[in-house]
Amino acid sequence: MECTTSKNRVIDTLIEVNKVSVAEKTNKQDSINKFLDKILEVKQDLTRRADDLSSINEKVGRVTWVQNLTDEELETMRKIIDLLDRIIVSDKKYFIKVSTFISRSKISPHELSLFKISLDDLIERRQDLNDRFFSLPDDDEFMNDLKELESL
Amino acid sequence: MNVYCTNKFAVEFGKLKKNKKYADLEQLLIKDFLSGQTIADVNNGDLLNGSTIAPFLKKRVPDAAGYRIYYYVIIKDDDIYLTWLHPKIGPAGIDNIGKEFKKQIQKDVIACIKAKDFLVMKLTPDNEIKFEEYVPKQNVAVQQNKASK
Repeated sequence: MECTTSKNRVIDTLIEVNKVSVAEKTNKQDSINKFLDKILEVKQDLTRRADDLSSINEKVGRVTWVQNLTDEELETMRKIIDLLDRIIVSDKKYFIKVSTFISRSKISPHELSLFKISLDDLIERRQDLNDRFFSLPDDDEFMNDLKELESL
Repeated sequence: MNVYCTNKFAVEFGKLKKNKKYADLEQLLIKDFLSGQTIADVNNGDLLNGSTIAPFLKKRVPDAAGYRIYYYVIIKDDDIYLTWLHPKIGPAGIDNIGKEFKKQIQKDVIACIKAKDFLVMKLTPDNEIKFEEYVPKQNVAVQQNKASK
């Protein structure tokens, strides 16, 4: 039962992250090209993007609790981290573009700020996810210390 | 639930408390850790070490733009050890702690538990956090015995 739940959570996270990774390409390209007409669209896009990132952030936080992953599930976890990297690189560029756009338009920086907060949180969670499932478990010193702590 | 912290945590809290930008930190900590919570209430957040016996957790307080509180939950003893904290934004803002820092935090908490060198976090009547030196129960009994003679 536990294995099924863990596997479902990992696959579910992969699906969500993949969906957002694909969605970003279609969502953000148009909104910057047409300056005045697209201001509202940019604002809406920032809000939607921030919500998407927040949704992933929540799922990534929850997936840290899955235990006893199979090799296949670890490989899936690796794919999740790779997708997170892709989203981060792309959204960082998007942030820079929109920041420049905002300085020339009348868009309130509020939506941009919310987007940046969600993006920074995603970057942080990506690092923690990698540490949780790969860097720290592969570190003998850390794992030995953990065994000692668990036995205190 | 017993709420303990390392000396490093107390020092870092003290520094942040002095900064007006972080005036909300104390009440947020009280709300999330010193308001009658049970272990079940605090055993959530992001699991950083994969352990279900001594989970090392990161909590976003109150949200992603706020603070990061790092703590260990020793479930069998009903204890939590707050080990580190930092704001995400502002003059003392930090993006994240890395793998080496996480390793060091784990070493710190092991050392402090073994040496019983940690602080007890309590609430004052004025609703502020105070840190008291931990006194093992047998020592408390000895002290009470001496006082009664």
